[in-house]
Amino acid sequence: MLINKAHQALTDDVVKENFLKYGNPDGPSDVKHGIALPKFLIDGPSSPFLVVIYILMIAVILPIFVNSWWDGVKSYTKLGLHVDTTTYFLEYLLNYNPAELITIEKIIGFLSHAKEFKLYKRSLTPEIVQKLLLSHINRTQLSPSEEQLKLQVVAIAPKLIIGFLDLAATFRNNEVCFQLVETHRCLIQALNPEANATVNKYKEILQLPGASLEKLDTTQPIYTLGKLLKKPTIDPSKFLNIENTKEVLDVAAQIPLIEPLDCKFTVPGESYVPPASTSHVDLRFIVKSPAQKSKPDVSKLSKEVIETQLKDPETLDYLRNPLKVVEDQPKMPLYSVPPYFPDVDYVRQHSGWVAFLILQKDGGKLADVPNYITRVDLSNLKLSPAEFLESKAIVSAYKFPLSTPTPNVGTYHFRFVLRHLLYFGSDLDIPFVMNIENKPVETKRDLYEIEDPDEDSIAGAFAQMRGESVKKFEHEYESSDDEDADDDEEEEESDWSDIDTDTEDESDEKK
Amino acid sequence: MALPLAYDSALKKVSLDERASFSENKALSLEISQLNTLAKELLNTNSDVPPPPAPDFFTKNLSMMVKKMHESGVNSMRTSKFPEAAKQFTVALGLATARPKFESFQMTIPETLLCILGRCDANLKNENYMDAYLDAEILATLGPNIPDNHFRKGMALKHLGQLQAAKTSFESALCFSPTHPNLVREINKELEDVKHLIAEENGEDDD
Repeated sequence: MLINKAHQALTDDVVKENFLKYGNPDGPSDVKHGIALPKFLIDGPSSPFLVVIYILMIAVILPIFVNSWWDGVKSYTKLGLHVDTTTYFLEYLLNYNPAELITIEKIIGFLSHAKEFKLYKRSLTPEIVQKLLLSHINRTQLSPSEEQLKLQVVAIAPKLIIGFLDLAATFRNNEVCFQLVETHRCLIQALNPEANATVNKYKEILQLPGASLEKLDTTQPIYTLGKLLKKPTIDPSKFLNIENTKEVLDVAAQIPLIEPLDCKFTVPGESYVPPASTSHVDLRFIVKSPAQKSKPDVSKLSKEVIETQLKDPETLDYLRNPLKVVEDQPKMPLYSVPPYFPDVDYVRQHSGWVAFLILQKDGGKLADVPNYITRVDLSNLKLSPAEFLESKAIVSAYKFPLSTPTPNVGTYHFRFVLRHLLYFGSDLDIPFVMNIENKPVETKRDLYEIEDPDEDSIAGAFAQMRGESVKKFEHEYESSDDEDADDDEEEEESDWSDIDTDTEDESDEKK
Repeated sequence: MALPLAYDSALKKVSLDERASFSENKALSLEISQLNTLAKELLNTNSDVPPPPAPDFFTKNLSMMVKKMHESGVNSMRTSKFPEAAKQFTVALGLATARPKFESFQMTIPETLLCILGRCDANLKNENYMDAYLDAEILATLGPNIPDNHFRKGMALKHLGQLQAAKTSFESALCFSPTHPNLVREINKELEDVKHLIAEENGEDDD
């Protein structure tokens, strides 16, 4: 039937006109308007109301909904910071004055201007937020209602710091970055090392549950967890002056410390670091408890451990994804929750170190954006001191991928700095060197080597296109200067003809 | 927008209006003090236009005075009069920074650095570690690739009890390949010392 219609459209004048006018050989079809609702709703007595509601839905509510959704998308950056907050902090970074010392209190000042607090509760002005945050890190008591608000504000603040950290890292500003991490820890542990020198000295002890400056025996030079657990000058219960000393010491023993074994730049598949290659920092370390002494000697580790845990296997899997060793490690568990911070889930997610790679030259800028270490096996913490010193300790790996290719041949000095996001006293700062070498590629001539193809063969042409060497075509007769010139001309001509065809191709494409 | 400014015609100085609060106008008052300094220096030249800032044209008297003061500071150091030396270096520093602002700047940094360097050493010898640290911090910022500056900073930090920071400073000093063998030996010695102190503080030392 369709074929018949098509035939008519071509032969019959009336049908042809219909087809040209309406796109249908049968002529115009009726246009119907209606509302796609069940009949009983339209015919019923409430029909006018329904139409109004229908129009309201489409004309008012839907646009409002889309608008609010779009606003929500637009007003947050990729890092989860509000645009206004980002602008405020960027303004500081852009006008950064190196002569101005950046303090924890100053960072809390930046934080308190964040739009997030305003959105959480309209009455939260920067002054109030600052007061609440300072009260938290100074461990002072406020009125019960304010105390409740304080916990809410404190729970928001560290997320902002993580966002700020990313911003500051793009400016390669290590001072601001370090101070941001420090402020993060201060908020988590509710400590203000800037308040007075004693807090600063005993901050590692004061982060333990129950420990407070009033009860602490500050005549004793016990500043670190290691000293407290291994060689206290007096009995820890007298030093801390709290009831459940044993539990507190257990908590202290669960705080992971890092002992570095090896730190170097690696390029997968190479035994050295060539220029312009993709490399990563390869750090091998042992996690230990403050209660464990020194670190296992590398020479004491069993051969198997050295082969499997200190070196990477030369497998295809490794070459494809050199970071697999790190990803295979379990996510770091959290054995003890910091007692003063309200949001346990946040703490669980952010338990770990931030790794900074810093250039030694010119005042120490960040060489790359910081990375987070969250996957580490913490089973070493459970070992007894004797087991730890034997080769039972697990060696952990961390790899810091560099986003830029390695520079030219030379020696470059770096610092690798790990800062724990939650605990004081669990940091690492090691210097190391990047040696970029250029070793000539060794070429062995084996017996069955395939000879270079002739210049005038097809294989030779392909080899030339690939930039490989070819056997030069030798003229049977000695070429004279004239002929050389002719050759040149010919080459030039062919060059020109190449270009001609190219342009033709292009014009063809345009057509 | 009108700025809260006042002009004192007797002193010929601009100042912040008395009604405006200082804390709100910190940046403005910094600008005002800079303006006053520049105006005063221009008036002191006794000519309409100051000479152009050519590299060979600067107040040589001032350089002589700085040099003399610096030398007397060094002499005091030789005779172990460290507090006097620190004072003399401070005076020299004051002279070096008092150079008119429209003059060529190239002499100012080396002169200033020399004076701060002297004062830092005098403070270190005088066991005034806090001031020594402040000087060393400036030195390490202005001359970040000079190993000696990091060594000084490390020494001050070590005595202030900031052992980790001191260790970092010594390690920085070593990586700028100091050429003087005595310096290398000294840095390595201090680095070992600091590492030992850190171990002791962590209860890691063997007894």
